[in-house]
This record gives sequence, C-alpha cells and structure tokens, in this order.
Amino acid sequence: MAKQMAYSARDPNEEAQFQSLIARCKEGDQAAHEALYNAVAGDVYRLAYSLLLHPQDSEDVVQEVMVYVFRSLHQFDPQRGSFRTWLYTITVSRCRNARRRKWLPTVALSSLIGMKGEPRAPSAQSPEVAVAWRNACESLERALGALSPRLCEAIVLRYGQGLTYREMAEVLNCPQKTAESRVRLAHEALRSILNDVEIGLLEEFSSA
Amino acid sequence: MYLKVPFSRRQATLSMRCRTIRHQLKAYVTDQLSQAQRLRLAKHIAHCESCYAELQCELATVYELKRHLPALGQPNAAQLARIWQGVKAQTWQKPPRYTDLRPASALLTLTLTLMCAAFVFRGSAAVAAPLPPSPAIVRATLTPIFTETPDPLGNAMARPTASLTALYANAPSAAPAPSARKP
Ligand SMILES: [Zn+2]
Repeated sequence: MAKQMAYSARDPNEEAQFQSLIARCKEGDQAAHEALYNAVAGDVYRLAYSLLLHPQDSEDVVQEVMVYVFRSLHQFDPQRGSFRTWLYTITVSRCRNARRRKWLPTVALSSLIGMKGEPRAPSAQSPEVAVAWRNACESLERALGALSPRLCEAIVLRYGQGLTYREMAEVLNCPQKTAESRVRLAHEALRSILNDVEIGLLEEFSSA
Repeated sequence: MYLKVPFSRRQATLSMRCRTIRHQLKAYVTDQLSQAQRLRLAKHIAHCESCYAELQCELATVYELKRHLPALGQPNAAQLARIWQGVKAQTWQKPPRYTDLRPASALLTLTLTLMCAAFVFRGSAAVAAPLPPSPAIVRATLTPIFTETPDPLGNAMARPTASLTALYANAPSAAPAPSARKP
C-alpha cells in the first residue's frame, strides 16, 4: 500500500546469503559463524545503541544476542519470517531487558562529553560542516532519549534500519496499524523536540 | 513568523478541508497513504500555500531522521572485534563450571532427599526412635559448593554470573524507576 522510499538500500539477495551461512553454521563451520557475525553485528550494534544510547551496554547486548542466535539457530524458521526480523526481535527484547535491568538517564552522558560511539561523518568536509553534523547527531540522540521506549523502537526500526511496516509489526509483535501509528506519534514528538534552527544550520553547511 | 504561532491556534483558524489535509500530511511523510490519498493531497497542496508550508516542515523532520538515524551508533572495528572475542569465548569454550558442578549438585540433591526422608521418618515415628541429626552430612556436601565460588577457571564464564547477580541485585531498586520517569 505505502510507497517504500530507498533511504536504506538492502541487498535483495541478503536472505539467501543468510540461509546458506546458517546451513553451514548448523554443520559446525566456525568460519560461517564469523561471516554471519560480520554481516550483521554492525547493524545489531546500531540498533542497540539507538535504543540504549550507551556504548558499553550496547556492546553487552550485541554479545548476548549473537551468542543466543548461534545457540538457537535450529529454532529459526525461515517460513515464519526473515533472519533479519528474527535477529531484530531478539535484539529489541534484549534491549528492553537491559533498560529494565538498569535505569538509563534520558540524556546519554556520552552525548554531553563527546561521543564515544560517534557516527561517522561524511569524509572530506570543512570543520564547520563536521561541527554541524556532530550537533545534529547529538540533538537527535537527546531527542531519542526523550521519547518513550515504544516510540523510540518504532522510529529507530523504521528510519535507522529501514524496515517496512510489515517487518516492524513482526519484530515488535504488534499489528501493522500499531507500528504505523507509533511512527506517526514518534515523528510528531521528534518534530517538536528537534531544534528547527539546528536543522536549518545543517542544511546551510551541507549545501555550502 | 509562522513557527511562532502556537499549534492549537493555527489549527483553530484552518478550514475543514485543510484540517483533514494536515492530518494526512503526517501519514504522507511517514509513507502511510494509498495512491488515491496521495493524489488528493497533491491536488490540495498545489493551491494551498499554508498546507504546502506545513508539508515542508514535516519533510524537514523526516529528512533529518533519514539522514542521521542510520549514522547513529556506528561501531568501530575495535568494538566489533572485542565483541567477537566475547561471542567466540562463550560459543566454543566448553563451560567448565557447568560440568564441574554436576557431581556437587547431585550430592546436594542426595542430601536433600536424605534430609526429607529423615524428616518424614522422624515425624511419623517420633516417639519410637529419634534419628541422629544430619548437620554433619549437610556440612560435608555443602563445602565443595562454597569452594566452587571463587572459580579460577575461565573468565568468560564469570561474566554471565556477574550480570545475573547484578540483575537480581538491581531488580527491586530498578523497578520504580520507569514510573518516576513519566511526567
Ligand atoms: Zn490547506
């Protein structure tokens, strides 16, 4: 129904590649485990970081998730969904646990004292643009921290990971309509939180 | 100038048609409208300046999210390598403590069974012959478990235990926190 925008291009053969790696993993092939890890760990970390806004907690979650995934590969049923949605379901659930385990400050400390897991800014740019990029990322992080966990999950899966609403419903275990309304609500909340001045500044620098 | 007008007042001065469109704009920018709905929206936007301005604001937010959210929390190579070492250790190193604990837990089970049997027996035949108390057995079997705790084996296995105990230790204090966060 809704038009999909190509802001996060994903390899269409990805699922087939996962399947063949999983088959090799099940035979005990250690290189296949490593290849599978290399294929997804970065995305799992980004997802965890966007939800927890804490580098060490995110590392812990990625480790937990990957160990669990490797031990439970026999439970993964490709008939019921893609490997990526299965992986994200586990990640989101582990992040919820991590949040529960430890109360997280709404504003990540890392964003106040120079980020550790700093986003890679586009290369070959003036210092002004780099500063603007950094500011934009910091205000986005602060805005995410102010969102409720459910809305944060929705917006991060949608724009951070480029999932379709159908995939989101699978990961969040909710009706598609719920996923859609959460994205709308998150969008509205973020719009009022994100500083319009900063957006304007960023666009000015980017076009310069 | 436009942005300074409070949202509620802006809404109040809108026509019915514009109000419907405003509602649809959010669905439009988040890719939730059908082809027919998008066409109707486009027709209105083409001649309504205020809805067009509103659309630009909505699009700016989406642009910001699409541009920066995928870049948020990019791990560096050192982080990924570090995590991989942890995953490897937990996936392929046989957890030595688990296997070592088996005889100990078997002993504990045996002791508990004996204690239960003794208790039942003493209860039913209390007058006839009181059994000798069993603390000696309990002490003997519990000792290996206590010496097990400062385990010199694998650091990898020490980690989950630590996080588990942390989980239990923090559980009661962490519970009220989320409600405190709500405004
Ligand atoms: Zn209008």
